[in-house]
Amino acid sequence: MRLPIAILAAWPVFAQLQVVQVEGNSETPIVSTFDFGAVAAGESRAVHFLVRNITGTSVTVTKLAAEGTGFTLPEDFSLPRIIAPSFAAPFALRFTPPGTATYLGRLRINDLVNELRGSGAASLTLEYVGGPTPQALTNNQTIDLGTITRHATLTAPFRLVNRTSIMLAADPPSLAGVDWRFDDAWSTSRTVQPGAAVPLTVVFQPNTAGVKQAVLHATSRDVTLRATVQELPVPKPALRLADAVLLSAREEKLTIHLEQPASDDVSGTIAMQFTPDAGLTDDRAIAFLPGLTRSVAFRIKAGSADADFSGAPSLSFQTGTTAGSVAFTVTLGANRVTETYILAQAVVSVDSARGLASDQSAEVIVQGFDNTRTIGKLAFTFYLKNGTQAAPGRIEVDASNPFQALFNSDRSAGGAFSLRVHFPVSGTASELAAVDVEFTNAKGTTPVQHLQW
Amino acid sequence: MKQLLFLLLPCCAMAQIEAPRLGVFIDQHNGLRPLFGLPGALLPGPVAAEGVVSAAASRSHIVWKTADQICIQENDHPATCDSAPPASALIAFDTAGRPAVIEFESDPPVIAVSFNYRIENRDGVLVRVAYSDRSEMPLPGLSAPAFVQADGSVIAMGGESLVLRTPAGEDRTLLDRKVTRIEPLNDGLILLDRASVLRLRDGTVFRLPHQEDEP
Repeated sequence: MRLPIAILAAWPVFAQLQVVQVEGNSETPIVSTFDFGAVAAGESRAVHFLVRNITGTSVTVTKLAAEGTGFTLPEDFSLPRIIAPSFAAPFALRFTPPGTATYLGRLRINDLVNELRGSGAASLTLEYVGGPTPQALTNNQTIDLGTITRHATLTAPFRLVNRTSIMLAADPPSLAGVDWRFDDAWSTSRTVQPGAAVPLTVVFQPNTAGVKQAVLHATSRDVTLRATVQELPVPKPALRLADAVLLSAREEKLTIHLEQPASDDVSGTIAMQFTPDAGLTDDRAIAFLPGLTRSVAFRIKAGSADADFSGAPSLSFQTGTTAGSVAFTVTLGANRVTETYILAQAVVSVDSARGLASDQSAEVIVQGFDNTRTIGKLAFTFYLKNGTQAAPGRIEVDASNPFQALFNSDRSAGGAFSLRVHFPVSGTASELAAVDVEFTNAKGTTPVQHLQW
Repeated sequence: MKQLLFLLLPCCAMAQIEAPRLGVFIDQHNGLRPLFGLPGALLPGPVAAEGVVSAAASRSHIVWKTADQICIQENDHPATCDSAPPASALIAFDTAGRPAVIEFESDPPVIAVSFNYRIENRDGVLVRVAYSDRSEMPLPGLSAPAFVQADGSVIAMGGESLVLRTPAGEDRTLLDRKVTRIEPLNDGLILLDRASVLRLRDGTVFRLPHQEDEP
């Protein structure tokens, strides 16, 4: 009769909870004992578990404890914890052998008891010696090696030290990571005497920017090496215009130079922003050539200080026919440089002019621009072949309205205009020899003198 | 007796104010585009015709040729088109801007026309011919391409430079580089290689903007 009673007393314990080791996506149930294996003396191995309720009713966990030298629960597990049917609660166990011996312990969860085992192994100590004092590294530790620029070289010195009283073997280390390499690794196992050390130098020469990592495997430890790689510093760009002063209706050239040659191929953009003077509207002729765009990309090759615009050393742009300011902004890496040039208001500029005379009429044809778009008064004075003024002398015309109608229409071309004035002639137009024309805008008067037929 | 001359002013004297039309050009997709503005402020207009092989414009007229048609448009009127031989055409206007000469393929090849002159290429030797009296003037040292102005001056390649030869036979270098195509624009401008605009009065070269039409 006693045996059945003992069985009944133990049965609910095993039936309620189950401990499962978790590694990635796999779960391995623990059957009475869990073995941590050999861990370097003084270092730790942490293992993750689940305690699962395998009953059809909720179970309350009132006790979770790790007993024995070297075995600890590194994370808080709040108690009591109710676990619903089929659900599980995670926890971790850590084994830190203080010396080179075998250690036994227990994991207690309520009345469930699992044996714990592990051993402390003598091993070389891996140290990072790039800091002010040597830093011992443990398995799965991450060490931040700092920040460097792309293409620079980072050298990280490590060493494997034998702090035991026996000879130990140092197996060849390995390094997994793009652009990382050893400077002085060994390819076959070597012996390290007590108190001696073996240097190990890691070199990192990154080709790309960003946070980069590698895994150093040495003396049974995996250590993550991390470094932050910044883009190469780009020298500050400077903008140069062929002409220091911008004038309307010109094709200008600009170049971009660096303070010093670029250490790597770099790309940038130059943008143009035109701000017309008050009361004026945009002028789409003010743009980079040949695409009539206001933003253009450029490249600077490694070793050069001069920008390349699709194979050309300079970038052309039109200054249009509208007064205002043109701001050029060069963006290159983190550098942003803006320079502003003024397209000053000016008197009317005449690009071409000619007169035509027939029997009964005279015609004046002028092409030019008014970058203020304020053109108003026109004046014409005709001359006869004998040198005298033709009657009625100076003819003044207020042309404000038709010019404004052009400038404000969608047929406009900035402040450019083509003017064709037809004068009916009473008499014989063939007697006409020349004409003086005057254009007046807000900045003054432009004379076109003695325009010949 | 000296005749009296009066000029009638007022409102009707103002005939026309518009954006400058510098002519037309054929873009890289054989589209015919007007060219507005001024040198230093050039603005291509939208495509007016497609499949164009030759074109020229005065202030009032545009003439263009496709593979099999020659079309003429006066101001904003609809264009009229006629069938034409399958060759490029040379086009010239009179002083009033009316189409005056349209030359199709000929033998010897005509490589440039104005309303009063033509330039023939006779086995690599350029000859200027006057339409009025058929008089001829050899143009030694000049080679194609060529452009002839109303006053008879010729713009052509002189060695590796683009030169202007006056009717008196004097040469002025316009550009120290080779060009392969010269086409007319208005107001003392010519189009070089459909890529740049040369202002004849001072020899300044301006890049021809390329502007794609928005979809």
